[in-house]
Amino acid sequence: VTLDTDERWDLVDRVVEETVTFGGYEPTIRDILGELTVKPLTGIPVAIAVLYAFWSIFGSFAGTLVTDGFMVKFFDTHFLPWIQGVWPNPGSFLYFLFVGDPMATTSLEAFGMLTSGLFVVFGVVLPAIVIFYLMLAILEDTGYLPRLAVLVDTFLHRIGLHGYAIIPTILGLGCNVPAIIATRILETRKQRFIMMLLLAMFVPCSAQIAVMLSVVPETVLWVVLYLVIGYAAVGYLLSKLIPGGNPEILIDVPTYHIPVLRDIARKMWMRTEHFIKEAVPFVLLGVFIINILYWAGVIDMLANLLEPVFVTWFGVPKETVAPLIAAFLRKDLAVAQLSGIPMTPYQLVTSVVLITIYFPCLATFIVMLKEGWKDMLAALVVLFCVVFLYGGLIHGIGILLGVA
Amino acid sequence: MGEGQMGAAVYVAILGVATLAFGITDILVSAAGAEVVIGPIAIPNDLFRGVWGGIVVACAGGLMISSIRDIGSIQEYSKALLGAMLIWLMAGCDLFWRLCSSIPASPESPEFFNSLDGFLAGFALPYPPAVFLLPFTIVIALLMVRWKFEP
Repeated sequence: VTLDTDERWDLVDRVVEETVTFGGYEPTIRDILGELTVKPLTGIPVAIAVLYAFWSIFGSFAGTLVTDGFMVKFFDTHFLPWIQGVWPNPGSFLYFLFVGDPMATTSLEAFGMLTSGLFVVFGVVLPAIVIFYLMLAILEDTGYLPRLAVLVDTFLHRIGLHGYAIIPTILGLGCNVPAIIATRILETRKQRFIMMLLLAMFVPCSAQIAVMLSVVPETVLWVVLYLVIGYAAVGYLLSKLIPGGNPEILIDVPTYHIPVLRDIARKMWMRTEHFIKEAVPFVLLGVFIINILYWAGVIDMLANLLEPVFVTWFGVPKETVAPLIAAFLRKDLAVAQLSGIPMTPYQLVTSVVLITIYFPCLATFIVMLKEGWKDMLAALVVLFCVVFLYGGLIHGIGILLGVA
Repeated sequence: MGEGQMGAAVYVAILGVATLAFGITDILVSAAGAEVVIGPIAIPNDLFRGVWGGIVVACAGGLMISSIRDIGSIQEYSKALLGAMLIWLMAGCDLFWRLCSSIPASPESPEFFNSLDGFLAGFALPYPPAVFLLPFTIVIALLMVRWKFEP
């Protein structure tokens, strides 16, 4: 027997009527707090507060305590002078590749595999990843994340998704690789395609956010604003343009509970371990390839070739070509590179947004490919169109505001 | 409404109005780009802690005020508790930030860790409004015990 949706719900009602007995129940504070956090009027303020706490703790721990408090000092005043002193022949190719600029005074400026590469991985990205996954695990295990899914369901339906899409989105703020895999929880191919595209374009990973907070903190709010607008606008357009359904689903919302410490630790360790295996080789490889390209003159050639597009259409210096190439390997690395290029604050905002949206990093690209090459190709076409139009639009807004 | 509940309603109303006023002040002052220090209270001038944080504090005040009509009922009391929780979250974040910035020594110092005096100085006044509101909101949590609401 084939039942349509209405008939199926009627059947559910009849089964419930015959099998379920409702008795008197006194709700507890926990039950009511659970209800209040999914109702828009009370739930939205809570969501605003939870996200505030999430990013406040993230910034305090990763930025203020570990990176700025200890790692910058360790790498810049101890490790960098030491490696610059012990590595022989500062004019050699190997020195350029592994140590970078012999005159650099900070690890970020040096841009060698063992200076910038190690600093980005262990000084900036690792603390960010650890605290991000700790916070995420707490949100999951207390039962707040499913409530957030219910709360944002109406908004996400407008962009062709449903509430559960918040889970890949938040995971993507940690790392896009598990987020792309998490798109499998979405029902239809259309939803998975939209989600994959939005993740690849508008959701920066925590490594990138950490580097942004560390090297270009003044741009972060503007970049986030452009990304949020892009997420909503492009999602809306895609939901209208792409054929396919957007069915309702049931979300199981557990009661609030205190998380088990062992589960949190295990979850955090699994994700961090996965990230270290993914990120460390790519960051070091990224520095290696970029240095080789610089050395061979390829970056300068590309910068001259793409100058009209970058300078005239996007309104950014032609030197941003190198970070954009690096962005394919690691976006955090690319943002770090931007800090060394002289440009106006608005150009910096545009460049960071371009780096975020222009192409997924290599690890994300591979996972997207595994999810299906046809969708991947279609995603690339959409991606290039969006980057070209959105990048030009940001430049246009800058011209109108008189800041570009 | 009993006498105890009336007293609680008045207390939560005053606290709610004060919280809302602090939240709105946070937003306005931060949006204007000025840092204001009034005695022991400091209102930050950055968009994150000032504007975003101010919105949270204002929402907390709104939740408390919305609960006063029938605060003796578990449903309405929960709203006041939720408002108090938002203040705990805000104050907790500020104290955590102070802790994180007090542990390492200053960038100019050759040491990695701060001295004990330097560490304690990181917790000196002024504080943002949420930290001052924190002890007053604990009363809301105590009402749960007094009124024997099931947590």
